[in-house]
Amino acid sequence: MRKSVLVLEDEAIVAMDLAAELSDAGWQVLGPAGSIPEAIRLIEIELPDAAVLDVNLSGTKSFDLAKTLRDRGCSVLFLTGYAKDTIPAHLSDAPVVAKPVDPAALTRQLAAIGRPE
Amino acid sequence: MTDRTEIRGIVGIGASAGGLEALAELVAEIPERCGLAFVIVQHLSPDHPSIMHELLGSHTALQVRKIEHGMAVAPDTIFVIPSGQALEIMSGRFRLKPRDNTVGVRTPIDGFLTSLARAYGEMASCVILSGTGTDGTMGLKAIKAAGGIALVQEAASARFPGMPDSAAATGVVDARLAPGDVPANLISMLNHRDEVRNGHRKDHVFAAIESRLPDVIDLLNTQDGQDFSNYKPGTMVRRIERRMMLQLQTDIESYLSLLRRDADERTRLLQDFLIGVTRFFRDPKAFAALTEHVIEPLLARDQNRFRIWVPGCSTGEEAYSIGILFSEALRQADDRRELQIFGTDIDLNSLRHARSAMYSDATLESVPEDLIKRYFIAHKGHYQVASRLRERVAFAPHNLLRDPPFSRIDIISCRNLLIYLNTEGQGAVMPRFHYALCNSGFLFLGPSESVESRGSYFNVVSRDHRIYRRNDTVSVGFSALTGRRPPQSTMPQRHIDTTDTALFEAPSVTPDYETQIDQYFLNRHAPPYFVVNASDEVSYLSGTLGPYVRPAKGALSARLEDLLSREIRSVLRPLLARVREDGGTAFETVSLTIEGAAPTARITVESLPFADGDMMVVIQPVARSETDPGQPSPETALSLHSAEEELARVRRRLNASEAGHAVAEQELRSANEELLSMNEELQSSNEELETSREELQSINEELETINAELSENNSQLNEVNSDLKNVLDSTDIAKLILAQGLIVRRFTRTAQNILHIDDRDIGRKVTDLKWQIDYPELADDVTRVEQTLQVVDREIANPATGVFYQVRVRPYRRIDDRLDGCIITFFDVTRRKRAELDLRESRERLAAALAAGNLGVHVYYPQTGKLVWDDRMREIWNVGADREIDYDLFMDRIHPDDREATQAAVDAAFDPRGDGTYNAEYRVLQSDGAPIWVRADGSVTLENGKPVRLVGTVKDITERHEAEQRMQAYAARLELTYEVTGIGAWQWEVRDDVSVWTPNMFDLLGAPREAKPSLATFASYILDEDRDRVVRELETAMDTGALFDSQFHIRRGDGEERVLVGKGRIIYNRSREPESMIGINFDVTDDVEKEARRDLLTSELNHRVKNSLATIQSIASQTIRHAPDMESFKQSFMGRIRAISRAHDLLINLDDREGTVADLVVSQVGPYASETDRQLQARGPRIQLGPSVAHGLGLVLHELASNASKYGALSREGGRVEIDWSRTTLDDVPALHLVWREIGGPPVEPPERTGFGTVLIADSLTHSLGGASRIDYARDGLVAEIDCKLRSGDDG
Repeated sequence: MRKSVLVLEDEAIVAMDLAAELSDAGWQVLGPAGSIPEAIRLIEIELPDAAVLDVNLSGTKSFDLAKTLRDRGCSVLFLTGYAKDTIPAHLSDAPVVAKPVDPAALTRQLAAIGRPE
Repeated sequence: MTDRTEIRGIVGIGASAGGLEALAELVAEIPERCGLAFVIVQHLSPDHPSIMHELLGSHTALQVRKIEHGMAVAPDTIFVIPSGQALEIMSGRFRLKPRDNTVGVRTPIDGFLTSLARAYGEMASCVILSGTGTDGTMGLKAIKAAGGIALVQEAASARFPGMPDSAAATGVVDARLAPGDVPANLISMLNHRDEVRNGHRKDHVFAAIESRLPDVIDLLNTQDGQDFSNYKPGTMVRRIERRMMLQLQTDIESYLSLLRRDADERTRLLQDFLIGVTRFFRDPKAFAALTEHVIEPLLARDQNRFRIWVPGCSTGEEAYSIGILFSEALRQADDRRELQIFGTDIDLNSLRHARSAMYSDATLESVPEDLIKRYFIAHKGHYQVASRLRERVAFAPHNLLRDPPFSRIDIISCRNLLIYLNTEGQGAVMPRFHYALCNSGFLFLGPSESVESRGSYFNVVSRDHRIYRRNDTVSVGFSALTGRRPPQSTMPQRHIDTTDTALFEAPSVTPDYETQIDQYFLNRHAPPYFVVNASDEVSYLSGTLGPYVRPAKGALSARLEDLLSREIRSVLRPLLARVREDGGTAFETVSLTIEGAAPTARITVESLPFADGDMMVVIQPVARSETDPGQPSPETALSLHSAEEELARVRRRLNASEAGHAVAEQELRSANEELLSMNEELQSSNEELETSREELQSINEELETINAELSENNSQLNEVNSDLKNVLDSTDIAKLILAQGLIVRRFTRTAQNILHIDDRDIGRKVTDLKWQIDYPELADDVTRVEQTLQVVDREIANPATGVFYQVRVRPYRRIDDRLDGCIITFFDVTRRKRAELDLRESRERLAAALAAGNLGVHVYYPQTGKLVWDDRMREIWNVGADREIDYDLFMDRIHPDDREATQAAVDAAFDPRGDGTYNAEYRVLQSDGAPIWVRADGSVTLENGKPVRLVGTVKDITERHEAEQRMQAYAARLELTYEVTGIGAWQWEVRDDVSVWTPNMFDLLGAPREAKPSLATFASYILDEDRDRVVRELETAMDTGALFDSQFHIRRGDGEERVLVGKGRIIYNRSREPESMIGINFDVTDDVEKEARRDLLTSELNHRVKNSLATIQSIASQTIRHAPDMESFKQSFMGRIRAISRAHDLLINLDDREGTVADLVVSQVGPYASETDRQLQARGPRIQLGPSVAHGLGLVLHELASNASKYGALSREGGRVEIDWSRTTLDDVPALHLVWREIGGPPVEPPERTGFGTVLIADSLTHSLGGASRIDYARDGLVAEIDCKLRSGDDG
């Protein structure tokens, strides 16, 4: 079984591209979700092994979702285009990848927290 | 034995009868090693060797030695005089001399003590113990004079108190003690003396004594009437110190209090002050010079008597010395003129001593033997001055400095007195001496005294011997009338008997050989002879006269009757009488029955040619044979014959006697008659004297009356004088009265201060004085006044002090109207002068001020209506200098509009209820009609409550007025500026927190206009979070002076929040304290909001750029994934990027960053559609889209248009795309419904696989926005339907 990863990104093209890259890297992609309610709907169906979360989703932060995922045993990786977006202290051990994303860096970071089999 | 060689002192102890007991007590108490040598001198019989040393040895541990000649004195030893020897001490060794038996009673104690005092000075001390007589007294005085200590045995303990009493009577004894107490007291006195004198204490004590010396002198003056104020302090200080030492007083204060309560101590101190030691002929050379330079010239003068004064004669030695010298000179010249000597001193004890004229042999040391014989009589161990010399010398108490001096004195001998006086005292004495001496009188001073620094009262006769002659050309500098005491009424003037009956002259011995032979012959072979003087006294006897001399019983007398045998006497008298009468020679032969003499002798009387009145009588023995050679000599005949002869001789003698008797009787009778007549004369003289006495009595009465009148007169004069003095002094006006010839006569005290003159200048010529004031015309002025009798006024200055004087010279008129000099008055007019100068200066200042201020001055007199104007006033009113000014003219020129106000101001000034000030501003019309604005100020002067004048100034203020108007316009503009810009300005007074705000301030704050402007009010509008900071910044600005610049939030009165900026700067007062702050406030709320928006936009833009890049990266990545080759990738990718770019352009160009659907359609589809063919038809309402949605929709429209241009309706001519859109809702938010319909294109084939473009169209809008897209590949044309929300969450 391939390990699953949730992709949460509101920009449709970017989300498609992330999904394609992760899928190429051997992950089973959940989503991609364009909003937090859509992401919550997805994880209610199936809890992924890892999650790649855009921090800022049309003005809403993904930190609460990240906490929920981690509480349920899911590794989390943040994407951010903002230097301003500071990660809260309780999530500061989560890896952060800056946008625009270097696909190699993303897959390497993600592999560090949960390599797909 | 002692190992000490240092002798601390030598104590001479005198003792006589009863002395052994006292000595035993004394020596028993002498401590060992006291450093003193004790020398005991006693009256011992020369016939018995003394065992005194053995007797005393048993009472003391000290060594007792009998003195041997040449023995050295040693400490801690008692030396005892051997018997029969006179003792002296010299150079530390004893000298024994054989006792001089010729001198009456011996005085060994005096002798030794005198030599002890001379040899040891202060180291010498003496103790006089029991004994009779007066030996020791003189010695004790010598010891005291040398500075030693003198003790005597107290009378009660002495067996024979004669000696101690006599010594104590000198008054100089330091203490009277029991013998046993003597050593301890003596040693403690010495210790005390050493303690005081050694080291620093001595100077200290001397200084302390000197500082209190005036008190001691004052005490002696008030308590004992002795004035020592003119004595040299040095001597007195030493004497006081000595007394203190003897009283064991270390402190002058305690000694002073002792002096105050102890009269005896005062007496002892007085004695110490007065102590003096003199000797006869104390300076033989000086006395010889006195004889040569003074006495001999005096004797040559033609005068009946000589008067000599010896002030400070002490115990009289000096007075007697001079008496002896003078008497000798008189005697040698056989001069019988009178000699009077006055010895004076203030010490009564000394005078008593001098009168007693008893002296010890020590004092006679310098007196030649013959003089001693002639002028002294040995008397009880002393010498007493012979009475005939004593009678010539009178002693009297007299204070040289206080009592009037003697007068008509020929010689003043004042030796060693001046040395005790200070300079002032010496200066006072000289005029007295000058006064006392008669013309060319002599002054004889001691060896260390001189008059040469005392002006020209005396000329030098012998500088070496201090002999001076009175300078008669100098005016007398002393007046007896100004002395403090009336002159002594009588001085004892004793009768002086100049006859000298007891004088025998020794024949003068000539060494000449011939004379020796003559003498020898006379002695061996000459008959007896003698000389009788005019008084029938035998004045000379030859040695061979023996048998004829029969001295009468009783006192030795030289009279004929008392000396010669009767036979000689009876014959001699008639012979003497005959020779005296007839002169020549007379002789008679007489028979004598004198044993040892020839029976017959011829008595020859012959007057001596060389000595007037003296007769030589020669008794020549005659042999009988010679007298009667032819006579037989039977015994009877002889006896008868001799009897007859005797009878005849007796008869002859009788006859002669009778004749003599008759002569005598005759003489007596005539003498009696003379006496009778003299008696008559005396009687008449007596009557005359009686009459004279009565006359004198009446004259005396008259004089008494006159005296009383004069006294009264005098007291009146005194009163007038003191009135005058007080008047002069009280006026404080300097007056100087000049006698004729410019001589200063009198001046007031003020004049004394101004002119720096004093009483010494009285009598001097005023032009000789050195004045500070500048008045060279004085002499001329005085001359003018004296000539014209007109007052002269003049103003002079004292250049040194800057004081000005008005000098007025007036003639001085005596009461009898006679002109006598002039009186000069000096008024100090400095103040007036200064006032004048000040007035002139202030006038000039006023004029300058008026000129500088361009002020016109006017005075208005309301009672007369008169106006006085100065030139400037006339200039402003345009009035000529000669035109009369009146109130109407004044009003006439004032602008009609201002007249009423001006009149009101004038009326207000004169209103008694007002303050009398006059202030007005009005226009004065000029001749050209233009007005000048003037400012008038003034005040009304009241006199007796009524206004008398208004004095005021007028100033042209036209320029100021214009400036004010300009200022007002400026202020109005400024206010307008504030209003327009909305800037509020304020001024805040720091101290009392009062502010002034412009209206805008109230508006900025939304505060009611009636609010009280202050910092507190202002701060209340500031929001809480800013208030403290603003206040802090304000304080910093106040402290540092920096600009206050702060931005803060307020809540306006209407509740709206605004942002204000405040700027201000502090203003300091002169003492650099913050006084006020001026500043502005303005509203920056809009600017702040704009800035916030710009910040937000920037951040958004950043976000979007990142997202765009991410999107582009993804587009690239996805396009590559789906592109079959590079060419198609290129076309797809570029087209997609351009679409995004166009959508972006659209957004950027819009202010509200919202593109409309129509714009988006045209921009994305327009490039693919031909306009001419109307290939694009877009229809729909105006709908604005958020940026995210616009991007997404733009990309979708691009994909659709790109597909259409490749494969659809836009790929061929005739094809077209119809786009219709409308509003709808999606999830209850506004949404867009858009339909893309292609018409006229080639037949549609659904794609074989889903490309990236399809995914984009299907998902890009719905992915995050919800909504949906549907594509229908209908054959006749593709139709796409899109539903999406108008804004995403990102779109705000």
